[in-house]
Amino acid sequence: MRVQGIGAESPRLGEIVEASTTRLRAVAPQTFAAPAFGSFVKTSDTARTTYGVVAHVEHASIDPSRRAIPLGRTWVELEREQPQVLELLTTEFEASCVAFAEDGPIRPYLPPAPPRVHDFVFACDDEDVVELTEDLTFIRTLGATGLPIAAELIAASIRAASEPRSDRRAFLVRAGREVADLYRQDYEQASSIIRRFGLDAAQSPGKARDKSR
Amino acid sequence: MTRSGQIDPLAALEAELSGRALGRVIRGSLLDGIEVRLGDDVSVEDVRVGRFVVVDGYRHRFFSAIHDVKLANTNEDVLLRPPDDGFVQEVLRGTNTYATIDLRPKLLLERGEDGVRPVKTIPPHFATVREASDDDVSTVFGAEGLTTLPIGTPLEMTSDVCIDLSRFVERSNAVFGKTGTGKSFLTRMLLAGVIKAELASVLVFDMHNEYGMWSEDEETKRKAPALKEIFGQRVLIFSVDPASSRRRSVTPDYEVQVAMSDIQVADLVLLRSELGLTDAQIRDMESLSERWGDRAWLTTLMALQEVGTLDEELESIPGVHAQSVKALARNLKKVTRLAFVKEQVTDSSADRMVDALLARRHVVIEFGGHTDFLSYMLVASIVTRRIHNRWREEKEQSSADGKIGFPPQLVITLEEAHKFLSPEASNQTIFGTIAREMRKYNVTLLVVDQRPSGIDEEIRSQLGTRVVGALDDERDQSAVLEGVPDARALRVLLNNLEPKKQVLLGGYAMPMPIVIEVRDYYGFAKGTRRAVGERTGPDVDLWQR
Repeated sequence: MRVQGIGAESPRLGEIVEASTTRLRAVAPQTFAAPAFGSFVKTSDTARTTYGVVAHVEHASIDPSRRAIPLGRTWVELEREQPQVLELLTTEFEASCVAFAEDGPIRPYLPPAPPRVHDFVFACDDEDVVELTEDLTFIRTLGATGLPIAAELIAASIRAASEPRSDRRAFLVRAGREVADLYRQDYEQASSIIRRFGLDAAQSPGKARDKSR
Repeated sequence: MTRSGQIDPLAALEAELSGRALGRVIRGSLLDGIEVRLGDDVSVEDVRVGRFVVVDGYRHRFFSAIHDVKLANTNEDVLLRPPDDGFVQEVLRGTNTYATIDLRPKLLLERGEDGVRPVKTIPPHFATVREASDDDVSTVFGAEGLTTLPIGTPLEMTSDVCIDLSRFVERSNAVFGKTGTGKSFLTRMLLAGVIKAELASVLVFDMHNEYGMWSEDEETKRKAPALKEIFGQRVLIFSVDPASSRRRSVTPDYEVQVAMSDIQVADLVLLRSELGLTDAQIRDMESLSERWGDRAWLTTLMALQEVGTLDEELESIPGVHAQSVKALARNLKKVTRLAFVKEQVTDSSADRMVDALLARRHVVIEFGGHTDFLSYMLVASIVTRRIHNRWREEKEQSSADGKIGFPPQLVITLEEAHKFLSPEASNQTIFGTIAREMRKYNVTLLVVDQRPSGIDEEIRSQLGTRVVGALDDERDQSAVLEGVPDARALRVLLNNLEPKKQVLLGGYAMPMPIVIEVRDYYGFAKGTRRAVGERTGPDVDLWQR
C-alpha cells in the first residue's frame, strides 16, 4: 500500500490545520522552512494518500490579531539580542489537491474526501512526481482552481514535474501543448505560461541524466 | 500509444509492416478530395508531394498520392504575434498550429477482396492515413510478370511500380519531358519491355542515334547499351548514313535508300516549312503528280529542270505557273541532293523494314550525321506511309481469312513528334491518321517529345498512357494534363518532379497516376540482356518468315 511509503524518515514539511477536498493548509514545523511554490507534496491518513501542489506560502505572526512590527535589526542581530522573535512567527503553506491514491495507482483527480487535520505533509519523492504527472490532468485541475495566480502555479508545477525526468524537454513540450490546449481561446495566456517554463527546456537536460553522469 | 509510454509490440510490428502513420482524415468530398490532419509527431518537412499513401477505412483501403501540404491554425492570434521562441513554436505545433495534407484517392480495395476498383466513396472521419507499404504498391501496381514491366519505385519506397505492357501497346502513348529528363532512357526501357514480352514489333525513328547499339549518357559519358545490344539479331539497324554508323562502330544491317519515285506530295507537305513551300507550290505539286503520275512526277520535274525544257512541258498543264514551278524545282533540290535519295534503288529499304516488322522483328532507323529535320521527316514519312498501307492490307486480308493476331501489333516510336503532329501537319500527314485511327489496324505511336503543346489537341486526347518528366513551360504542362481528371491536382505533382529521376505515370496502362523514381537503366539493360540470352540461346536467323 502506497500509504506505507511515507515513513518516519521522510522530512515533515508541515502539519495540516485546515483541509477541504480542493486544498489543505499546513503549518511548517520550523519558521521559514517551507516547501517550494509549485512543488508536489503528499499527506496520508491510513487509507488514502492525497497529493497536492504547493500553491501559497506565507510567513506571519503566530497571533492573527497581532501583526509583526518592524524591528530595525538584521536577523543576525535579532538572533543574538531577541531570539524569542522567531518563536512569535510561523510559516504556513497551502496546497491544491490534484490527485490521490488508495490501494493502487495514483488517480489524477480530486480525492473523495479531504485529508485529515493534524496529519503530516511530506515532500513527494521523484517516483511519485513522475507517476502523478505523467498524465497531465494536474494542469487542468490547477487551472480550474480559480486562483488568481493559477498561471504562475501551473508554470511552477510543470517545472517541478519536469525536474526528475530524463526526457525533460519532451515532457515540457507535452505539458506546453496541454497548456495551449487548455487556454485555446486565449493565446496570450497560453504563451505567457509556456514562456515561464520554456527557459528550463533550453537549459537543463534533466535530473535523471545528471545522476547517470 | 498507451498512457505509460509503452508501445504494444504487436502494434509496433504492424506499424513497421504497414508504413508510418501520417495523420487522420478530418474532411473530405469525392469531388474535392480528402483533407488529412498531420500527426503532431510528423514533421511537415518530411511529407513530400507525390508520396503514395493509403487510407484505412473500416471496409475499404483507399490509395492516393499526396497532392498538397498546407499549414493551418486554430487561433488567429497566433498569426498576429508569431512566437519567436523555438520552444514555444514547438509547443504550439499541433495545438494552435498544425499541418494538413490533401489526398485524391483514386482506387480502393475492399477488405477480403483481391482487385482494386475505382473509388466511389470516401473514407470516414478520423480514418488513419499512412505511408503505403510495399504490399500496398504491389496490390495496386502489380508484380513483375511476362507482360508487366517494373519501371521504377514510388517516392521513398523500394517496391516496383509495374506498367501493364499488353495494355500499353494497345493505344498510342507518349513520353514527355524537357531536354535532359531522361526521355530516351525511359523510352528505351519501355521498348525493351515490349520487345522482351513479345507484345509488338517496334520501329524507332532514331534521330539522335540512341536506340541502336549504344547511347552515351550526356552527363556521365557512360555508354548505355541500346536495343540491338540487348536483343541481338531480333533488332535490325537500318542506317540512313552508314558511314557515320561505322564511325560509331555500329554495323548497320541495312542501308536506307530512298528512290525519288517513292517521294510523294504528302511527304513534302510535311516538310513545307523545312523546304519553304508556299500553298501555291503545294497545289502545283499536286497538279504535276496528277499529270505525270505519283511515282514519276518528281523524277520528271527534276529531269526537265536539268535539261531546261520545263517551260515547254508546263504549258500543256492548266493552272500551273511556270515561274512558281521553277522555284519549286529549285526548292526540291534540297531533297534530291540528300545522299540517301537516289533516282533508282535496287532494293527498297522501306519494303525490307515492313517485311521485318511483319516477321515480328524490330527496326531502328539511325540517321547518323543527317541530324536535320529534312532527312528525318522525309524518311519517317515515306516509311510510315508504306507501313500504313501494308498493315491496312494485311489486316483486311487476315480479317477476311479469319486469322487472328496478324499483322502483329506495331509500335512506331517518333522523336520530336510535334514536327509530325502539329495542328497544321497532323491533318495532312500519315502520322495524324495513325494516331487517330490505326489502332484498328494494330499500329500505335509512341510519341517522344519535349513540346507537348506543339502537338495537335485531338491527337493528344488519343494518347493512352503518358509518361511525363519535368516540364518547365506552362503551356506544355497544361497540354500534358488536358482532359485528364484532377488535372489541377496532378499539376502540383508535375511541378515538383525532379529532373532526370522522377516521372509522373498515368493513363490507360496504369491503374492510377503516380510519381515514380525511374529505375536504373544500366541494371535494367543488363538484366534484360541476360534474360533474353537465356531464353533464345544463340542468335538464329529469323529473317525468313
